[in-house]
This record gives sequence, structure tokens and C-alpha cells, in this order.
Amino acid sequence: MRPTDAVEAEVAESVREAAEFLVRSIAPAGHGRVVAEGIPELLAQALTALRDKGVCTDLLSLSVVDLTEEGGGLQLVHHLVPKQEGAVLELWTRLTPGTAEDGAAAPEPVVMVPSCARLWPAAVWLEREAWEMHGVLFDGHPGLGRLLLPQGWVGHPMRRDAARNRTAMPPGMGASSPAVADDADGWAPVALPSMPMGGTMRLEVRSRDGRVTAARVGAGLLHRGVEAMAEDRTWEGVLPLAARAAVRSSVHWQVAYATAVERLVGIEVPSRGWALRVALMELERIADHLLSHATVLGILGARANAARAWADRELVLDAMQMATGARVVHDAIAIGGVAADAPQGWPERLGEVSEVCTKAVREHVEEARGLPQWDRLSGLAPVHPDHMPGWGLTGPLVRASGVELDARLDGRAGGYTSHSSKPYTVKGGDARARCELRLLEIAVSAKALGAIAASMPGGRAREEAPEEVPPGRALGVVEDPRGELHCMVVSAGGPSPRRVHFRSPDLAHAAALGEVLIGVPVDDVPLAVASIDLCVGGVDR
Amino acid sequence: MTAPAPRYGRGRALVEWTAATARWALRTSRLDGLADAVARGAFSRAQASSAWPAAAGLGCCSIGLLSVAGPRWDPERLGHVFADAPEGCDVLLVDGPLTRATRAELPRLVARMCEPRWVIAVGSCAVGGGPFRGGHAVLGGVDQVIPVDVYVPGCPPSPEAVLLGLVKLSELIRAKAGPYIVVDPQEGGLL
Repeated sequence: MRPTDAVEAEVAESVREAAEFLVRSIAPAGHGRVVAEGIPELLAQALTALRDKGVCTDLLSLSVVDLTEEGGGLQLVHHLVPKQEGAVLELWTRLTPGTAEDGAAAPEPVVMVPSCARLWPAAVWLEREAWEMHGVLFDGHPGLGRLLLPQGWVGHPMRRDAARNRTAMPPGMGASSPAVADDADGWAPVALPSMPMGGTMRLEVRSRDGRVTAARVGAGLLHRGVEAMAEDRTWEGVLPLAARAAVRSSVHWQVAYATAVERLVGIEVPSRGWALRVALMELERIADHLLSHATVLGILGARANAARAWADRELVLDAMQMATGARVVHDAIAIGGVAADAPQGWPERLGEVSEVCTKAVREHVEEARGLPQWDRLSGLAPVHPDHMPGWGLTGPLVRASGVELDARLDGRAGGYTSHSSKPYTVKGGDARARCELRLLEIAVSAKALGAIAASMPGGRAREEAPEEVPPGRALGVVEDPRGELHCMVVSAGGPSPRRVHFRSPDLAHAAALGEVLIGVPVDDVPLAVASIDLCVGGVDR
Repeated sequence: MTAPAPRYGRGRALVEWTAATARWALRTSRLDGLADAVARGAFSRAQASSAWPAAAGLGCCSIGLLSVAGPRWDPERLGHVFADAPEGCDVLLVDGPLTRATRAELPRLVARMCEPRWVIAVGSCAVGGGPFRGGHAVLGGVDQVIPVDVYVPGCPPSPEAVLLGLVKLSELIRAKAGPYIVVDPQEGGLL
């Protein structure tokens, strides 16, 4: 692993070379983050230059920060992936407030910026979200409609000049279904048994000869407005929201947010705090991978095997409950460390879980490969980032096609340096590779748990966080069970964050579903979706 | 009034004749009210001891419900077999707050269930909006749009609390009583 400051300097240098006069400033900001300031008039040229000269390969996230009260106007933030591994390029562009009218729909003045959907297809969903939440219009976007809010929503709820009522609608309105276009010709809904009631995310496909020719996804049924609510909470008060946004990885979301705040106020988490955090995250990863394995087995009709996976998951949740008091939704993380130190005997319990999981995983892999229906996964919905550039794919989805991408191991995620090894990858990239990779990752996590149990650091588990959070911006990165999770936090110096933005892997993967599912047999669509593994709470937030 | 003419035949015809004769006998002897009450009681007992739940899964508690439905807590030993679709269930476990998007979906989901049907609100969100109360998309508890029979607060409620909710629902069905609020046995108090 190379030191992150060397990578940052290299990224800054290559951005300077490629877009010298297209950005105002560029500077390394620590923890693998390079911050650049863009020029609104030259934004399209800058992004095109960065992409075409191969400096930035992918778009991870796009968000808007409303700094109107501080005199900063609307700021558009792109998180780009540089070609150098282990860094992220954060491009801030202050948008010039315009007076263009957004028809009758927008009560506030809107601004127009060039869309980058042509450069990176991941931007299609991200710009829709930026438009519906902040009212930024994207020029050249293929279809700027509502993504998470119901059709017919009036206003842009995250604009801070919206008088804090966040919507112009009376409570009784907005009862229409989430965003799926109206034309019905040829589109057939697909039930997703991996989600309750056939899908908390709508999926519709068009098909010919039994194979999918087009697929579209309707998100937003679980949208609660977590990021908007975070702006009204105290700094600590955002943690419960983060835990409940995507509950399959509540510890990861809390750690992402807490890391960002810690980097903002400049405190170091004690090594015991990180060891406990990493232990909880790895336990959650095991539990989550077992959940997705059980789901896939359920769809394949292997109910006995699925019950075995559910039962093993309960053993992992037992260990988590011993430390946090909860089986799911763990309010375990505090800013500066963990909320409560681990109870007596927890490291020994971790050791037991590690042994049990190592043994169980070997059996799960053998049993799964012995199932005749396991072959249904072979060759199904192959995903390779080289064939799908610009979708922001991360996590087991790309590690199953041999890409060594893991935020835990390249120095961006905190806490992992002492427990890390090489990222575990397999070749193939199809549904079978993904499902087997997740099982093998359980073994890797179990090994990490064993290492933590054997050498649990002593001392305090929490560093006292200062009362005041200074103005500034920071980024927290963790490797969620399903991919890279970033949390960008912006402070204006007040008692609450000015902006909290979560870059969830689920949103990127759900957006890419329309591309991934093409060519999949219609009968196998639920299986393909289950093998990609989405947490809809992470999509909708 | 005369008894229906006897129609001798095999199978279904015989059953129909017997039923018709029994109905006639009950009506003429004025015991039909009693028979009706007995039959209703029997159905009510059957429904109470095997109310099949299904999870609406509109919030984060649905991940907690996976444990309830799984082999550890095993609701089937209490007669509650988890169904996959609302058409096949008697009880809908609703989790997650009422949002502007689910406001139209939830009554539609409940309407797809067969009568008689019951609803359990699982988690503080479904009970009253929970930690998301006040958000731009959140409208509060689900009982604003669908009738709720048992409230299970908690964020999230423990699997024991959800099971207790199912047990209490069985008692309500037997007693034909009103709504009930569960106190989480793991927490020992209302959240």
C-alpha cells in the first residue's frame, strides 16, 4: 500500500496537467482526498478534459450543497475516481444563481449547468436527484424527472431558501406512486422475491424471445429524507438517522458519518475505538453477506440451505447484540469512537464467532456448489467495469470480476491498516462469481475478527469530541458490504451540519440495473437482482 | 314447510342434500342462530391460532422482521406461517413511517388482503412516525390511512416484541377486542 499523500500529490499533478486553466485551484486534503475548485462557465470543458485525457475514470457521486446563508450560493460537488488507486477527486463548483423559470413547478429561482450524463452514465440518476432536491437544472440531461419523490411534487425540498417547510405541498397531496413513467406499452412489472411484497423498488422490463431488452427501475418508495433531516439535527443527532438510512449496514453508515466529522474537527479515534468499530463492521458484513446468500438460496428453492444461512446469521447477530444491545439498527458509534466499550468477554466471543464462521463458510460453499440449481447462476448478468465504464460500480460487484478495489485496503477508510490483506477477488463477473465471492469474503472477515480478538488494544475506546465543529468540509469513506460508501459533511460552524450527503453503493448499482439486466432471461431477473444485492433503504434514503 | 325432496346420488349430491336438510332442520327448529354462533366461534379460533402474517417491508424494521420469520424465533410453532404476498396472508406487519409515497400504496396493499384481515404496526415509525417524524416526505403513523389492530413500538422492536404482538393479536381475534399496544419484553417500557 502506497502512502496516501504520495497518491494525492500525483492526482493533483495529473489534474493540473489535464485541466490547467479549467479549474481555479487544486490541493491535496488528506485521507486520499484531493479538492479542486471549478469555474462554472468552464465546468463542461473541465469534466470532458478530465475524462478524455484519462485522468478521471468514473463518477462516484454528485451532490449540491446550499450555502446561500453563508453567501456561498449553490455549490455543485462532483466526486470523481482518478486513475491512480486509493484517492478521490472532489470538484467544487459555485453555481451562478440564475433567474430562469422552471415552468410552474419551481417556486425558487433555478440555475442551469451542463449535464455530465454523456461522460458518465452514473450521472443520469445523480443529476435527477440533484434537480429534485435542490432545483439545479442540467442542460443536455436525457430525462430530468423526479427520482425519489412522488411525481407531481412541487418544489425542491432541500433548498434552504424554501422557508424551511421544505415543500410547497399541503400534507394531503403528493399521493401518487413513485417515479415510473406512465407509458405501459410492452413494459411488464417483475416481482422481486428478494424484497418484501415483491419489491420495495419497482422493476419493469421489456422483453423479446424471453430475454430482457430494456429494464427500468422506479425508486423512492422508502424515501424518508434522511439527508434533509440531518440538517436540522445536532452533530451527534445525525448518528441515529445514519443508522436507520440503510439498515442492512447501519454500523457502516454511522462510521462513515462519524469519520467525516472526526476529520472535520481533527480528532483521532483511539486504537481500541477503531478495533471495536472494525469488529462491528466485519460482523455486520458477515451477517449481511449471509442474508444475501440466504435470499439467493430462497429464490433457487433451496429452503433448507437458506434456513441454515439464516440460523448462522443469528449467531453473528448474537455477538453484535452482546456489544450493542441490538440485533439490527446498532446505535453503537459515537463521534470520537464507540458509544460504549465492549462488555467483558466480548473478544473471546469474537474469537468463537470467527471460528464458527470459518467452518460454516466452507460448508456453505460446498453445499451451494452441490446444488443442481446453483448452475442457474453461471453466466447470468455478467458485470465488468471495463464493459460498463462510468457507472460508479464498486464492492463485491466488481471484485467478482477481478478488480482489486477495496476502500479498506487502499488507506481511504479509517481503522483498517493493521488488519488488512490483499483484496479478495475472483474472476468471472457473473452472478455465480458474485454469490461465491460474498461467501469467501465471509471467511476473510472471520479471519480479521480472529486477529482483532487475539490482539484487542487496551485503553480508552472513545476520544472526547469538542463541543464546537469548525466550518469546513470533510469526507468519510468506508467499504460497505455492498460497495463504497462515502459521507460528505459540510459545516458552517453551527450546532447542526449544513449538509450531509451519503454516496451509497446501492444507488449506483440500482441505476446500473437497467444496463446489467439486458439479455437476462426474464425468468431469471429476480435471481440476477438478488445476486447484485441491493439495500433499497440505501437507494432511497 | 316441507323438507327438500331427497335426491339419492353419490359424492357431492349427497353432501349437498345433507347440508340442505341440516339447514332446513335448523331453520324449522329455530336453532340457526346458535349454530351460526358456534360456527363463527370455530372459525375465529382457527383464525386466531393460525393467522398468517406477511411483512409490508416499507422501513428498516423489515430487516429485524427477517429474524422473526427465521428459524431462531420460529413463528410457525405458534401457527404463524409467513406468507409472501398480501393475497395469502391474514395479518399485515407494516413497518416504516407513512410517507407521501406509501400513503397511496398502503391502503392498496391492505385492500389486496382477504377478509377478515388484521394489521400490526411494527416499530416506532409505523406507530407514529418515529425518528423520521418531521421529514419532508414523512406524514407520521400508518393508522392515518389503514386500521391498525396491534401497535408494537420500539426502534426497532426486539423479535420477542413482534412475536408478543402476534400472540396478542390471536387473543384479540378470539375476544373480538380492540387495539392493543405491546410493551417490548426486552426493553421493559414504551419507547
